[in-house]
Amino acid sequence: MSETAPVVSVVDDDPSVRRAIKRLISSVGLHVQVFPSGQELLKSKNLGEPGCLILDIRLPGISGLDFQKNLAESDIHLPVIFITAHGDITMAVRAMKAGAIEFLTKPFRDQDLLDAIQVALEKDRARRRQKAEITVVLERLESLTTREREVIGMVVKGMLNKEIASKIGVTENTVKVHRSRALQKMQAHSLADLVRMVAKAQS
Amino acid sequence: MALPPHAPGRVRWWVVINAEEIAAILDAFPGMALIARDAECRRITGNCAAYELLRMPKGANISKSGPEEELPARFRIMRDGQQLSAIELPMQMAAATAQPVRNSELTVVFDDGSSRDLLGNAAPLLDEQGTVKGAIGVFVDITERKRAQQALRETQAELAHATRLLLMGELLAAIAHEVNQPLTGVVTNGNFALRELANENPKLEQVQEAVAWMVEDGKRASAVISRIRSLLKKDAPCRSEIDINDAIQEVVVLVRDETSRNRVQVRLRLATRLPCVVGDRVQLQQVLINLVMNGIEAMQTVNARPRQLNITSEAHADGVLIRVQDSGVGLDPERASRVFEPYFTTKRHGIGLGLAISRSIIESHGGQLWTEPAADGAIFQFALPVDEHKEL
Repeated sequence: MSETAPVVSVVDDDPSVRRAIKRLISSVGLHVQVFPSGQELLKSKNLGEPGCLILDIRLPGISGLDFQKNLAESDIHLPVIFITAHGDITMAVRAMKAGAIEFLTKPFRDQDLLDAIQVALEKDRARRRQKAEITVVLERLESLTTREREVIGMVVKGMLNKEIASKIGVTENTVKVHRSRALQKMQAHSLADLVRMVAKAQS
Repeated sequence: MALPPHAPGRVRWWVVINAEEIAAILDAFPGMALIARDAECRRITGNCAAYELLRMPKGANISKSGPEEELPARFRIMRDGQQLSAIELPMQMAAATAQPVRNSELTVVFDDGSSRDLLGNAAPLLDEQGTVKGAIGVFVDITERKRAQQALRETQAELAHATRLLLMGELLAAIAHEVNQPLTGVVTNGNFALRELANENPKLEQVQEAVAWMVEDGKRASAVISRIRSLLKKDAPCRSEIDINDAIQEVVVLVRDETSRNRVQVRLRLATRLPCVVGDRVQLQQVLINLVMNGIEAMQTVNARPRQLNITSEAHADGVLIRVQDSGVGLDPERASRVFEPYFTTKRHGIGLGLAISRSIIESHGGQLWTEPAADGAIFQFALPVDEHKEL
């Protein structure tokens, strides 16, 4: 899969903070877009694209933590880095528990922010790669006939050809044919490979 | 004593009392009763209470306009820190003008430095022809009352200061936040500049811009601090011309942390070209902060509708009207009529002084502070008079 360049989205209600972070992030060659509020961010079209989010924990109208929850509920899974002007431990704990990458207290060290962004982008890449792989496996599973899928299901459960044949009322040879066609369609190199794929698709 | 019969429709009292009885009644009277039997009040005598209060022997002449050798020397009579001349004294004045003198306040200062405050009336005594033949005076000792009033005023001032400090405590987090934002700008821009300058070909234009931003942000941080400093001062009221919209906007910045933490949306609708108000900026801002914080608290339990705080300013009959409207739980009419009473509170942790103090501040500016019910929540508003010759 070809990777589009990741975009770092920053949400902070303070214009000074927005412009400074934007300048810093673009200086290391990353694409960056800034928003004064969560609502503005939601209007942006490229939320599905690779990247990460930098959220101020106190946003106008909604807390950054609640906004993070809303995003997850809208199936937007961008990794989140929180920044805050308060060193509030309870909040930090909540943020980290909800899966935040980092919780930085303003004013933060530039390197800390840039490091967190790298971690976030790597996490996003890994998640996307995994998601893409799952999509491929699901597509391949989709291309199987009903009978092939049935056979594969039993194969990965560890059933022998003989058992499968008697269970579905065909000859052992017919099972072998279904099985080899299915492996071919799934582009699996081995039985182990197939088991791994199916396990991933089921996760 | 038996009363003589009286004709129906007319009430006529005949009271027969002899001089000894009058003297006995007057001596039992706890206030000072004084009488002069000459038009110049050259000799004034009084009841027991009078001599006791003035520390004079019974029967002595207590007149300050009497003959030199009889003048009482051990006390002076003052008003507002000024010693009164004989003609300014209430009995002398009543006799001189043939008019009663009412609610006259005096302070008797003794040679040992102690003093008593008196409040009383004086009236001329007239003969059958209407010529002044003397005067009477009746005074009560209000020293304790005045001291209590003074103590109350001081306590109120202290409480006002204490609530201000309490408020400042709550706002401390807000201040940290407000200062931290521009500081974040400064640090991040500084880091960017260093990073860029370390490059072989630094983008100098960008660096220059970042440094200009640092200066801007630094100024912003210092402006926040000076605002706080002026709020913390325990100054005597200082009257100046105030752009009320400006004052409102500053308050909104100060409470921004509170509003955002409580998910309250603040909407400003400020009229342009409002005339200036003359008054104490910090005091008026305290009132605004108080109203805003009350509004926020009233909305804390509201989840079914947006938590909205509308602050408006507009021209009013002969001044400006500032309105703070919340979408909170509101006030029932019974409570609404009592919220301005000292120590009345609808809050679990309130001490019930905020609105009482706010009202006294607005009234000391010649304005009015009152509340009105709203569809959702409550409206608190105040009107302030303006100096009509000045426009912004």
